[in-house]
This record gives sequence, structure tokens and C-alpha cells, in this order.
Amino acid sequence: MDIAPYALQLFSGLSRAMVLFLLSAGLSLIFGVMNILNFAHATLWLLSGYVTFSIFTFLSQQFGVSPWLLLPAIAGAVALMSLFGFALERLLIRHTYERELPEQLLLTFALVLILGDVIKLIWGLENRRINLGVRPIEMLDTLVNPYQFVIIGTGFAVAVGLWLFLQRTRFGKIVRAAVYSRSMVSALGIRIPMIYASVFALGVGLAALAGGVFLPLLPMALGVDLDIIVQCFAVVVIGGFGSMLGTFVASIIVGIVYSFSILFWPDGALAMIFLIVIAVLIVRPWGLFGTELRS
Amino acid sequence: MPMPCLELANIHTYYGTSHILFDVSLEINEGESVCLLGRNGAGKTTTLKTIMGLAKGKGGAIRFNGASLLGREPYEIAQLGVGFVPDERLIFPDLTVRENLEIAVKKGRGAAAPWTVERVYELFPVIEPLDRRLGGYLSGGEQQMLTIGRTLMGNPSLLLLDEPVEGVAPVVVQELTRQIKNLKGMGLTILFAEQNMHFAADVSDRAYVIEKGRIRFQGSMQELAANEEVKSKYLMI
Repeated sequence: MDIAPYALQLFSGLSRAMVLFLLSAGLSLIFGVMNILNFAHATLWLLSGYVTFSIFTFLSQQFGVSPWLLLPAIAGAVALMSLFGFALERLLIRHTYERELPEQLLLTFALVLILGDVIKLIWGLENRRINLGVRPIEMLDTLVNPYQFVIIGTGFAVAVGLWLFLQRTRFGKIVRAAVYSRSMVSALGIRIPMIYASVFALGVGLAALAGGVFLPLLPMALGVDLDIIVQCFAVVVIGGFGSMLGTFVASIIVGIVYSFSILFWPDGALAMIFLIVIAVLIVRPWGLFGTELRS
Repeated sequence: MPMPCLELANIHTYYGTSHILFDVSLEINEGESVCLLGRNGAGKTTTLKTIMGLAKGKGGAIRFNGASLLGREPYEIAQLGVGFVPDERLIFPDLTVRENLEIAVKKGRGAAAPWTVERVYELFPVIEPLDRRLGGYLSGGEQQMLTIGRTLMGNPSLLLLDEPVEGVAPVVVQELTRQIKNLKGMGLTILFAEQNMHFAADVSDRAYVIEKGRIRFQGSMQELAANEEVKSKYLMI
């Protein structure tokens, strides 16, 4: 049996899984704490990709082309986008907490359109990608882009870091408490508006990281955000809202199922993911790792 | 004449379109312990939540040590020194007992002896051995002690206690009663929401009786004990 195509799909599935995880983790945290579905989450990811691209291009002009410039470019984009996320929550998102779900979706969907147009205005219609000039390596009888391992490694490292952050730090503990009861956290004298803005900034920061890390592998293009956000919703439903472990496992499931479906039934890749979503909703509506009851 | 520490004047509270509190007025002096008695659904919890900013009060005024509370967020009200102990307890289930306490710590507002985890354990020795247990795995009595302890960590000067002995085993009720009297002895001002007349008589100086969102009676515990009409009409005793 020729295992080469399977190995290729496994690696690309895992790297897709890591991007899905970075995005879904933020989405799930934001939903867990503020109870708002941020439809624009993947659009912020897309915007971050373009921002990373511009910083990378600028740095390349200043210091000459080097793949290592991607690191400061990503760091800069994460910082800028986190600040942008903080401001976005303070200026717009916070007004929707007391509102009905359709109104929240209207606002965040409007952001999808507005940010999409901002991208068009600044970067035009062309796709953007960064070519790091990394040569493929031979593995398992096939050629693999070694950069995929960077993505997979980053995903695992962030998962562990995020878990430690939520478990060990005071901020992380407040976030976990707020997922259970925001009003009780506020009644204990904790400045909850600051927690909301910081969680939103953290979520956007994670999305920005995903956007930057993804750039050398696939081009950023208008419309990709909508494909990705739909898959992120699938991830959080399968994993269970509010569970980081669930988000991680579900990202791997969705990433791998998607990339193997492409091998056997290219048109049905998304359908496969939604079959899993439906199965989970029937058997465990609160997700594989979610908690059954929320107060 | 002591200054009123907490004052509600003609407060109305709504949940959506339903009108819950009607023209509620009450006063608590510093160091006093007052109970708000009433049946289920009379408006006791809503009154406490309105003071805490968790339910939005309208109309008159709510003043705490001279500061207006109406329209403020719960965290601001907590920072002014009001502590709320909800009857649902709302212990954070995936934080340990110690983390539940630590999360609520605030620098004492000039409090002589600010609350620490160790002081809470001194007051409630039962929960000390549970230090590293997750909040989701506690008995009713343990949860109640932890909830009170968690609120104390913010060094409140006014404590709003919503039915603290409800759903707690009878042996634990005695212990809790003693500990709450301890708190009163430390000079804390306390407002109870209570249905349990025995417990209320044991821990409070004065009573308000609330029914269908209106205050129907106010007076000392002795006056209430002697008033058969109020007791049978509003409290079913």
C-alpha cells in the first residue's frame, strides 16, 4: 500500500487542526465568558494575516529578505490586533451583551462585511502569501513542507500555554469563574468590563497568531474567513463550549476528517464535518467535553 | 442617633415587564442586623439583588454610607463595601476551595484586620481540610460556609445574606448560626433575607416583612413575635 497520500493528508489535516484550534479557542472563550457568538472572529483572523503580510514586507524592505522576519511580523500583528480587539469590545461589542442573539449576530456579521471591505480597500483583491523559500523534505516516500511541523508545534505549544494560563494565573481563574457566573464574579468586586475586554483581546490575539503562522502555507484571500468560521463553529459544538480540551480534540477531529475527505470525496468534506456535528448534537448536545448544565 | 448605613427609599424593581418590588423603603443602621422576612416569591431575593445592582431598581434612591448605589454596576457596589451571599451559592465548581476564596480577595478598605484565607478557615474550620478540593464537590453546609467566606474576602462592611441556612443539615444550622453571630460581634452590618422565623429571631435585632413586593411590617423582633396578625397573614406562622 502506498502510504504517501495518507501521510500528506495527515500532516495537512493536523496543521489545519492547529489553525482551527487557535481560532476556536478564542471563539469558545469569548462565548463562554460574554455569551456572544463572534461571527467576525475568522474575519479578524484574515485581517491579521494581511497585517502580518504588510509588516513582513516592510521589514524585508528594511533589513533584506529573511524567513526569520516572520517572527517579529507575527509578534507585531498579534500586538496590534489584540489592541484592536480590546477597542472593538469597548466601543461596539459590549453594547450587545444585554441584547438578543439575532442582534448580536447582526452586529458581528456587519463587522464581517466592514472588515472585508477594509481589506479590499487597503490590500486590494489580490491574494497574499509569504514565500519563506523553505524546501520540502522527503518523508514517508513523499515531499512534505517542513513548515507544517512549525504550525503543528505552535498549535501544541499554544494549547499547553493557554491551559497553564487558565489554570494557574489569577486572570485565568477569574475567566473560568466568569464562564460559570459572570454576575457572581462582578458581585465579588472584580471589574468585569475589564475582564470582557481582555478576553476579547486575548481571543483576537490568538486569531492573529493563527493568521500569521498560516501565511507561508496558504494564501490569505477574501472569503476564506467564512469557510473557516463555519468550521470553527463545528469545532466548538463538537468539543463543547467552554472546554479547552474539547476544543483541542475537536479541532484535530475536524482538521483530519476534512483533509481525508478531500482525498476520497472532495465535494463532501464540509458535509462530513456536519455529519459529525449532527451526531454529537443528537448523542451529547453539550459536546464531547462540555458540561451538561450551565448556570 | 446612629447614621443609617443603608437606606432604600421608594424603590421599584422590574424583571422585563413584570413589576416585582413596589415602593420598597428600608433603613439599616451601622452594626445592626436586620432581617427581611417573607414567603417564597415575596421579593426578598429581588430586594437584595436590587441593592447589589444585580437587578435594576428604579424610582427613589439607594444610599450606602452616603453614596448612591442606584444605576451602579455590581462590582462598583462591591468595591464600596457591600458583600452579597446568594442563596444559589454559585461556588465556582472548577476552582478549588482556596481558589474560590483567593479570587475574591481585595485590599482592605482601611479595614483593621483584612480577611485572609486563613482567617476564613479560623471562622469555618470545617472547610480548612477541603482547601484543595474543587468547589463542585462540597456538601450544602460546606458550600454555604465557603460562599460566606468568599464574600468576606472582599472585606465588606455590609453583608447581604440570602437565606443562609436554607437547605443545610440541621446540625450545621447551629454551627452556621453561631458563626454568623460571630460576624455580627465583629461589627458587620447584616441584612438577611429569611423565611425561617426561628433563625431570624436568633440572629436579628429588627425585622421587615415583605409580601407581594411591598413592605407590610417593620419593627423589633419582639414586636413581630407579638403580632399574630402579621405572622399569620404574611408568614403563615
